[in-house]
Amino acid sequence: MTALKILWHRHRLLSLAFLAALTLTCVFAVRGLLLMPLFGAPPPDPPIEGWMTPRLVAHGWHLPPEVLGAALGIEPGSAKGRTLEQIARDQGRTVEELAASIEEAALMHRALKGMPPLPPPPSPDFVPAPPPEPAPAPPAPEKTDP
Amino acid sequence: MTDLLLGLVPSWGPVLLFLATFLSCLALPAPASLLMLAAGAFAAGGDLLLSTCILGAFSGAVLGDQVGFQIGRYARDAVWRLAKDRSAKALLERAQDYAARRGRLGVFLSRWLFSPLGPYVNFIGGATGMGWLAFTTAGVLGEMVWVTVYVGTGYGFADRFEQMAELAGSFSGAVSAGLVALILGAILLRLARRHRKG
Repeated sequence: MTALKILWHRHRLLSLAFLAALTLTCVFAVRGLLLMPLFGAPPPDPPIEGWMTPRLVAHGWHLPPEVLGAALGIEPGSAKGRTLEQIARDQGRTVEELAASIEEAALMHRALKGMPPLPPPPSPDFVPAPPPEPAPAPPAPEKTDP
Repeated sequence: MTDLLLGLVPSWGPVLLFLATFLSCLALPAPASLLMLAAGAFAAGGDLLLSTCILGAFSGAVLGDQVGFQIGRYARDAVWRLAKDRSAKALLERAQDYAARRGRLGVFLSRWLFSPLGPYVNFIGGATGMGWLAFTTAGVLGEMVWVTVYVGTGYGFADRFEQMAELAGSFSGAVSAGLVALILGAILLRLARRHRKG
């Protein structure tokens, strides 16, 4: 106890610095521990911000880039490195409007994902096959007279 | 301000990283860790190349270290002139001795594990007359770890890199403050023993 008193009286500055460093350690450690669940399951779709690019959103939302391209009305590969804010300015829309389009497209894409792929569209010289002949009616069951 | 900087990353990535790591190695306020994580995330999306981001951040950090070290070297004479009495001179000699023996490990670890202390270690390394080659080798290796870990984490956790930046800040803050507390605690302990004897 006396040793602590001596340190406190003779080396006030050093003792204060030590206490400050100790407090900071605890604060940072607790803050870090509270953030540890980040390593767990991936979060749901991260919120869309103006500084994000379509590719970053596509990556975070686990969507193919074409879905984003179609939702934002941009050619694939043309918006590399452009942020949603820049795209919105070019198109005279707001970032919120773009975000709404992305959300809608994501909803559609995910709803369709579970379904089998649609058949390819018919080619111009495609002649539809004639409808099949109606199958002959099955023979009526023989009547058995008692 | 942060959003503005993040918006610049997809188009100016490597240049921005160069500036951020350069400034942060000189103890100037620059969100180098956040920008490195962001660049990794944009690289994961396909907006940036991982290799150029790592190169930009790495070269800025190495150059920043060199400038900090040279500033320390220039300050060396002034520090010695300030130490007029014998006890101050003895303290400086002990510091020099320590830098020569343990400096390399200190420089290496203060690049990435105790990164908030990095800039001060640069100045101290220069001011205590640490060898340039020893400083540079340890520094280059340490910066490689720092840059790869941060850009790589951004790449791997692209969907939550902002939260990762907070986590990394807490972690490096805790270990750095912990190290400072440990050193100060050891000094206080030694002083207490000396007082008990005296």
